[in-house]
Amino acid sequence: MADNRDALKTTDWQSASDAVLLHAAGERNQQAFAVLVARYHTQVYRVAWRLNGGHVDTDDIAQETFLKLWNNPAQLREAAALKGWLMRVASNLVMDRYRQKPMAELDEAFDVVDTTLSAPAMLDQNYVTKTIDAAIAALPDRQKLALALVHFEHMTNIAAAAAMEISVDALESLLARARRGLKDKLGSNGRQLLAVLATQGQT
Amino acid sequence: MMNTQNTKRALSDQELDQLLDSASHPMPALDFEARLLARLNVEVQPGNVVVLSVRARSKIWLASLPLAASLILGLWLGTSDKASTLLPFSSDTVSQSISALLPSDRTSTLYSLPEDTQS
Repeated sequence: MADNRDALKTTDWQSASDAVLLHAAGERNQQAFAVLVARYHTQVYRVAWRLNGGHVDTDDIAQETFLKLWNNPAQLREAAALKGWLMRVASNLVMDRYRQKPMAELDEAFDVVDTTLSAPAMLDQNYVTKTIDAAIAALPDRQKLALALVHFEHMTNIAAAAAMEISVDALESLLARARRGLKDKLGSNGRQLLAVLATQGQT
Repeated sequence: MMNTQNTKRALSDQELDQLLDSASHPMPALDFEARLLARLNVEVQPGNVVVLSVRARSKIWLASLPLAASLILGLWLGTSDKASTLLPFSSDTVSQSISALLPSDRTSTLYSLPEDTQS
C-alpha cells in the first residue's frame, strides 16, 4: 500500500481510497486530508445539525470532529469504519455540549411551531419543514441519532449500529421507537401536513 | 365525517417517510473546508490521556529518599536507646519538663509515693 501511495501524485488524491487517504493524513499530508474532509464534511455537518436542533454550534462541532481525526489519526484503526467513526465523534461532541450548555440556549434553534394555525397559514412548505424538524428535535438523543444515520444519511442498519456501538437489534428498537414517537407527536397534524405537501406538489 | 376519520387515523410508515423527506437538509457553509484547513496548522488539541514521563517519576522517588532515611534513623534511635545520650536531659524528659513547669511542692505531690508504700 505504501508503494501505491508513493506513486500517487497530488492530483490523484481525489480517486484514492479512504485507507490511502487516511494513511497519508496520518503522515500530515494536508492534501489527502482535504479530500477526506470534502468527502464527509456534509454528512458530519448534517448529523451534528440534526442532533443539536440546528444550533449555531453545528459548524464548530463539525470542524472539531475533523480536527480530532487530524490530531490523532491512530484512534481509527480501520479505514472502512471512517464514516461511522466521524459520526460517533460528532454525536459525542454534540452530547457533551448539551451537558455543558443550558438548554435554554439550544431552544432558540427552533421556533416552536404553533399547531393551532389556521389552514391558510399552513399552506407553506416552510411550515411543514419546520414542523417535521421540530418533531425530530424533540426525540431523545439516541433515537434522533439512529434516525439521522439510517434515514437521512442512508447508512445500513449494520453500519449505523457499528457507528453507535450498539447491536443491530438495539438500533432497530431505537428506530421503531423514533418512528412511533414521531407519529404520536405529529398526530392528526401529520395528515394535514401531507395535504399541504400534496398541494405544493400540484402547484 | 369520512374526512374526519381519515384525519384521525395514525400515519402509516409510508406517510411518515414522505414527511421525513420534507425535513431540512442543511448544508455546511461554502468556506467550511477552507476554514478547517486553515486551523490544521494552528490547533494542536491536547489528548485525553496524560502520560507521566519517566523523569517526572524519578524526581518523586528522589524526594522520598530523605524522608525514608529520616524514618529509618528515627526507628533505629528509638529502638537502640541511643537518643537519650544525645539529649541534654536525662532519658525521662517528660517528667523533667513537667517539673520545670510546675511549682516544686506540687511536683513533689505528683511524684511522691503513697505513705503506706514508703513505710
